[in-house]
Amino acid sequence: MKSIRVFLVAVILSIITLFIFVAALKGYQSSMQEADRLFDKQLLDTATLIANLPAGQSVTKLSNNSTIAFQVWQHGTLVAASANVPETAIISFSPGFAYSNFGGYRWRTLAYFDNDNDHWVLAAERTDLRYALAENVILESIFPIFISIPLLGILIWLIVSRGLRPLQKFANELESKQADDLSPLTYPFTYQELKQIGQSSNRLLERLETSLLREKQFASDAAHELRTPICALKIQLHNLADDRPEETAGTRELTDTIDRLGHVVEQILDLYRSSPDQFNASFTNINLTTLAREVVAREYERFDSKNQLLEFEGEDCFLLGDQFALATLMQNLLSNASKYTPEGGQINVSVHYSDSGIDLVVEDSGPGIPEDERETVFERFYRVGRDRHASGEAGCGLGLAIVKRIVELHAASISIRPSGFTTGTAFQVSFPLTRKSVL
Amino acid sequence: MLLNSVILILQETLEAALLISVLLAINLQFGGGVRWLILAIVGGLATSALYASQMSRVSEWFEYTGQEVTNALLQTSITLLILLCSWTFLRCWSAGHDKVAAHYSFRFHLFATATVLLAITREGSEILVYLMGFYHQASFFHTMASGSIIGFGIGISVGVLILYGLFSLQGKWRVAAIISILALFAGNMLSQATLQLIQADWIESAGAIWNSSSLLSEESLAGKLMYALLGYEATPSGAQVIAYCTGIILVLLTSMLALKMNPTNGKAAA
Repeated sequence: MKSIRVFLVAVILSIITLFIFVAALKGYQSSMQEADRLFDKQLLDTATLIANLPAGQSVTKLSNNSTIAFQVWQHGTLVAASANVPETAIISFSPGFAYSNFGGYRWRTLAYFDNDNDHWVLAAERTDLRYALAENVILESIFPIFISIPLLGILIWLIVSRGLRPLQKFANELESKQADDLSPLTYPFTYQELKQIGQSSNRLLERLETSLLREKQFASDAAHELRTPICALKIQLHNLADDRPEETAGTRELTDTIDRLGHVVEQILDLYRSSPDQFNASFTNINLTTLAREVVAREYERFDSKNQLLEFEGEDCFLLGDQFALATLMQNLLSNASKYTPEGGQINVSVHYSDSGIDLVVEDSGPGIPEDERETVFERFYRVGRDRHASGEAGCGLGLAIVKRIVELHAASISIRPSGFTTGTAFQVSFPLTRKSVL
Repeated sequence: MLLNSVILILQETLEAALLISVLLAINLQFGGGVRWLILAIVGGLATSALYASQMSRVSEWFEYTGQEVTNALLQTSITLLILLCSWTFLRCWSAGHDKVAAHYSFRFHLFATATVLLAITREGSEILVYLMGFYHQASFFHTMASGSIIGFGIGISVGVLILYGLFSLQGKWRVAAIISILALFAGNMLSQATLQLIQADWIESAGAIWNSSSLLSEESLAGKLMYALLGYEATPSGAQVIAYCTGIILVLLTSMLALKMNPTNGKAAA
């Protein structure tokens, strides 16, 4: 049962059809009985008329195919008859209506004894024709019912559709709500049936808003509470390095661990900020190439420290987007490329218009991602080869999850394919063209 | 004339509508579309037209008992297909697992398509032969057409109500209703097949073992409805009663076996 509309129309129409047709059948049966009585009365009138004809005036003009037949018998002798009857009595001489077969037809018969003239009148009428006549008359009254059924179906469909419209409007209002809009529904719940759904939905939204506020507050507090001690740790470590300039393996590991901790906290906050519930996008017209160039410049030191060759090429490409989010996206892609490309490797970044929009491509000469893992790398906390990745780089597995979120928020798409180098991966983000983005 | 048309068309339509309703209710379990049904109906109408057009030739087979023997063969095939439909349905339901449903989905649709196709071939050919008999008699055609519309309308309406009645049942109640209807339908088919073979003198009949005409006449509208829905006969022969019971028992045994073969025993789906 997939559609309420189809269910209502089918069931209502079936019940109506069933009742109307059964009623029509009952009506037909009653009408046929009534018609039978009328035809019998007519046959009696005919017999009475024949009985009162002057003696010897035989009605022989009735042809063989006439619907009426008769015989007049007096003291066992046939004194008058129509041309379409046999010479023997068509029925027994007992008064009343009956049925008889002669002349190749079935007849409704009447045996009538006329006391005044002392003779029997046996009158008959062909049943096939009398029923055909009666049926035709009755069917004329049934015929409009046949036409009314499809019209009724259309009418029921329209009425049910009209009745379900408030439900559709209610669904539209829910659908049109922004992801961060948890205000109560303003739809006027004038219908009794929808009032309860509306009240329940508003209570649910209220609970959801309270819960999200609590979560937002927690995230904000947690970010502050985590950043402060990490900052303090970094300062303390810096002071320690000043006091004891000779670097040991222990202090080096401590510095790396604190950096990693800081990175994880920042990534978690980025992931949180880019979730649809929290994302307050301020979309402006952005030159993606300029932005990419800025991010590349900011991250250059990372590539330089690993002696990696970074090439950038691009034309001015404009799109509507959130500057901070897009910078985070590129930063994550570049950081990922640098992390998994060995020392002395190469990374190419390009921004170009394509047939369908704007393509941002980051490709590296790293080991590449196996085909069966290309979909799963966007899952949170997923790392290719787990923590035993050949690069030996530490990470929290959130970078590409953040990238995917930002891609979705810009109605773009991301794909992974082998890079143009001997080995390696190419990440391609395709932004759709909007009217303003081509300005 | 009108009543005769109503009764004949209603009887045939109701049988087909009942079968299609039950198979559609099963189809809900598999979550498939209804393309198989459209294919079966269109195919069934085509084969029924072919069968009706060749009826006189078919009748001459087996020393002029060809029509009876062919009908008996069709009815027996429908019974066997109903057993297969029951089996696939219950295997899927008792497993209560999407993968199992997908595994049995194709088989069920194949069996259901064949069942509907054969049922429509038989019912449709009888309707067509009846209608063709009146096609050239203009004086009766109007009455016969009206009777056919009324019979068809009532049959389809009852079918739709049975379908949504089955849809409204939940879990094991729906399964119980479906299997009960299929069992009665299988019994009805086997009983009709036996009657056809008795008429063809392929099976000997020792006469009626009871006569319930005084309670419910076979010729009345209610009697005809009961015949279409439950296979009611006022004067059945012993062979027919045995065939009817065999059909019911076969469906019930198949169902029990299908349920027993799965260790989850329907709990997952219930």
